[in-house]
Amino acid sequence: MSVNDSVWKALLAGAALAGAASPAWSQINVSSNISTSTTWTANNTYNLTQQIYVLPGATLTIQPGTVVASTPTVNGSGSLAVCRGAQIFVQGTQTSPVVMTSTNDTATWIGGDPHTGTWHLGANEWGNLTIMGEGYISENATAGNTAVPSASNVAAMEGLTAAFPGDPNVLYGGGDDDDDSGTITFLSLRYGGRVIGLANELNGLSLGGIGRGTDIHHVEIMNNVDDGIEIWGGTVNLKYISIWNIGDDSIDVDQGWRGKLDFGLIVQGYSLAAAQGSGVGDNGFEMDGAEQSDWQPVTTSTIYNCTFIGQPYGSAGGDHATAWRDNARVQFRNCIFMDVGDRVVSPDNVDGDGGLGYGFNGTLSWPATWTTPYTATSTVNPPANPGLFYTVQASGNLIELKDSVFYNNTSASAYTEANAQGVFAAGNNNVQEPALSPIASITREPAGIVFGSLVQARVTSLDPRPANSALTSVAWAPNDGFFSSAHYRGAFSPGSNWLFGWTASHAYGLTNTADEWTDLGSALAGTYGDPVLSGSGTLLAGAPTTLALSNAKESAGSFWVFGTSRIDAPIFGGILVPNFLTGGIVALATDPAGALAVNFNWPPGVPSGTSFYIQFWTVDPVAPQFVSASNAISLTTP
Amino acid sequence: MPPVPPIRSAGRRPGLGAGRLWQTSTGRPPLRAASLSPDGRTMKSRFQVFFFEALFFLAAGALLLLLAEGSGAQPGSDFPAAGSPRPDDLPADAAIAPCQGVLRDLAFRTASALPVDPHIKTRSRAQEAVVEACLALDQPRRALRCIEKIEDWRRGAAYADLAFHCAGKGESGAVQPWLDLASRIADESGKDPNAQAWRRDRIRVKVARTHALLGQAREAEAFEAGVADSEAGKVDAVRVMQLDATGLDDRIRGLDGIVANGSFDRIQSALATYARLFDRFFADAERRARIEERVTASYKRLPALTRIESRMEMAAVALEHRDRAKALDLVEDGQRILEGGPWLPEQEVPLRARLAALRHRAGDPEGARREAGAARAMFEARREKIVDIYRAGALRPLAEAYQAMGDAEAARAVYGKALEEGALNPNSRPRAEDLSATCCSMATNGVDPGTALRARMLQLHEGLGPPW
Repeated sequence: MSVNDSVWKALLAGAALAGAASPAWSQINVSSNISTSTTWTANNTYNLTQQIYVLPGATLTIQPGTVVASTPTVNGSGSLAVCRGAQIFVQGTQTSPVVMTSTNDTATWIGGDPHTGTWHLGANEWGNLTIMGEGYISENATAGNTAVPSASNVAAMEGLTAAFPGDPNVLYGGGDDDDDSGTITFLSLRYGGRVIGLANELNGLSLGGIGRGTDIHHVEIMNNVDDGIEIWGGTVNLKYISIWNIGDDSIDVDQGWRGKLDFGLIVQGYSLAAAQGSGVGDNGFEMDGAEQSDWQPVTTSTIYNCTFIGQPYGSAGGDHATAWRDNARVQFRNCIFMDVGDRVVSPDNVDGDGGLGYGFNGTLSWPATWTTPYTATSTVNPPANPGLFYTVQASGNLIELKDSVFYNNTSASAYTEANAQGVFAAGNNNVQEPALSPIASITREPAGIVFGSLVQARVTSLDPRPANSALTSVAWAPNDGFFSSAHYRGAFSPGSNWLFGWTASHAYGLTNTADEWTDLGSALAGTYGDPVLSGSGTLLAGAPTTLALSNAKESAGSFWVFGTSRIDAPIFGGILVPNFLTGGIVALATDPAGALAVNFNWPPGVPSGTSFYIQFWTVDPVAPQFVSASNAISLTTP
Repeated sequence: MPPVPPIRSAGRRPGLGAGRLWQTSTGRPPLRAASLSPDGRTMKSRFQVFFFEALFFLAAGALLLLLAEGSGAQPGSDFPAAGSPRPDDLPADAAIAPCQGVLRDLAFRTASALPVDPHIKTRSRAQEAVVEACLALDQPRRALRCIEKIEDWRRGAAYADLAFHCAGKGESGAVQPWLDLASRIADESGKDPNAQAWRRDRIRVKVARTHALLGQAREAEAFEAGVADSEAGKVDAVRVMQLDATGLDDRIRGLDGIVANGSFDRIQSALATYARLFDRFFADAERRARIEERVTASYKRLPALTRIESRMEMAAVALEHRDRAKALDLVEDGQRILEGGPWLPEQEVPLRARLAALRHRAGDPEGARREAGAARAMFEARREKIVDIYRAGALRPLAEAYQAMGDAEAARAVYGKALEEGALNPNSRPRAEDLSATCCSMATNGVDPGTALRARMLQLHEGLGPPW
């Protein structure tokens, strides 16, 4: 879905009028556990007054546009946890996201509109969202757990208090990696992390033993006192994740996570005037393999198209982009690592929890993990079915940083370990960019301030779309049914900003770039795989506008199909997205490189808010029915 | 309508000096140069343009006709309905007892009672389980009727299962249309920008498995390409059942090598193959002994649950070959592993029950009753430790065990308890899942619920509704 600024402003005005004409939303105090399935609706706000559990068998459905705003209190405000066997459906949309925040935040909204508001220095103002599932974990602190994966291995969730010994409501883990805890879409979590009755802080989103049957995409964490997202074991996959101003690690993984991440933005900063790790950012990605390093499953994952933005003050500004411990195995590809405080790659090896690091008890050493093919699962304490356990990596070596751009990483040891592990060997296609920023623009607070021992300059404006070395990657992200076949580095395509409309970063004016162009997918492969259609231009009258087709069959007839609505009709073995009855079809031809560019100036007089859908179909003998299709794109005039 | 601008620079690489362009390279070596006309098109390409433009408009016309006839996507679903294939193309359904039909239908009605929003995933999973029950009852046409009501990717998986069932029945002529539908849904499911790849792969492997069963090696490889090793192993298990004696000898030698080289990943891939070879070679004492030796060697690295499962699978194979003594040995071995624990009660009760059922078939009825009784007592003793939504799942294998022992009264009693335990949760989602699963279990195991239990099941079904 694409929304432009004018439409947005109209919506805001409408919301403000509605707010003036009608009484404020009803506030519902949620003060007891959810044992019967419940739906939270957008005509109320929900105030969590204590730790709330969605109990086994129950389902919590949160409708689009619903606001969960808890009131900070001296004794701690509420928090939400979803037990094993329960489900949560967060049904946010780009225009009507679900927001979980504090009343300190909602107090800054104009007319109660969640698309407005002002960033403030704060976290710990409410709890968090915790979800517990039944995927396999490797946790060694619970009596009876075994080093070899077992369905009986469970653990008590960090930050939750058991009502009695063995209380199943606080346990995660099990033997079902397909487990389904529900679906979460377009969810903004803000100013959280406060724990009730315990010393440890809460992550923005805690995922314990979550199975791959759970769907999570478009989730934002803004200002959390502890980690942004922490994942313990399980197989959950994540897509379109934005994490800002986190007080500890932005993404923290442990106990054998075996999932994928596609399109992630990390913007390090601070949420409180406090110390590193408890209000001021620590590592970008903290990757632990298993609680004890020779237990299994061990973290094994693949991450494509992430943008990491640290603090540009060398080691005085923050910690590492990627920290590695206890046999973690993660592949990073097509990413951006910029303004990293300390090291790009840090082999922390152990995490202080008793784990004994890479190489313990016959496991692979740290250097060997970089050079060992992904097919080599550990032979120490293996699961019965490693093929089922380790399905994420599909090529390359167990640890990789490939096809990424590194920029303005000024610590003396920024690249020491990366060089030692051959990250910049020619075949890895990595770029150390000396001068040109890999993102469109970034603005920070004018001068660094010191919190704890770290110098910080919070990002106040960001256009995260790629520039220069990030515009094109060497290899494509695979079109494997989960990863999107992106051909650029970082989390954003040149023509699209998926933060638009639903995030706090957009509401606070930190990322105002409009999302005029939207990739709708539906490509049909031809000789060279999926033909790729992109668009650029502001869509303002007279502005240069370009449609660019690439990766199509060379010197072939190609048909530009467009319309003001979509039809999504099956044709030639693919999906025709534009309704050409509301537009037309123009015959063109690709060049000898299989490309085609259409350049023109955007005409005057096109009404604001007008949408167009565009797709190219190209004659191609390799396509199933001799015609390939590009991805479709939509554009909406501002 | 957007303007139709001239092509300014079709020959240049997009993205160079064109502002905010993406996808600036094809990633391929330069192709030979072509002479371009001033507007960037060759004369040949001009001809192609007009030729294919005509074709395209013809296609567009055909598309309009199709749309006018209402074919294509099914309303309310992103996935295709069964197009040309018809139920009549399938083998006829086997006859079943009336009570089985009632249970089967109640199972599907219960699964389908789950609301699509937000429970489409749970609903489809439960519906797919009923399809599996239909196929277990050798009722492919009934299975198809259920399949066509599934509204997510699992419809593709179910089509592929239907095809596999037909292929297994020797009805190879009835297979391809269902494979085509499954394949199409797999492709479609991967096009959602927020899709999960494993769902597509699961369908593709089921398609590959059927091709392998039909001896269509090339097609099987094509559908298997790129999927996870674990899923691919399922195809291998089918392949080995078609090997002749010479091929089997070669395969055993290959597996010996896999075991010897210590690559655990590959050992695991071989494990399923061993089980099938155990079946294939059961009558060949020398080869069977070799297989058992290899299986036992690989157990050193396996957790208890898998060792028990493997022992049970091999015991079932032995029973199929009427070797009760061998089966009992395998059951005893599994029992020893079970006693080593630790287990959660919801895991131990069903494992103990399943071993008891096999023990009965292997000629130890007294031991079987003893173990079933122990499982029943364990459930009662530790019931409070089991969350209510997991209790029925623990009891169903126990009921199945009693049914296998010929004690229909005890089976009905345990099924009745499973029904009541499954009805305790205040939410209809877990209640519907349990009721549907219990119906499937009773149907496939030939349990007549009797008047009272049937009335209770209908009552539980009627009681489904908000809150879900």
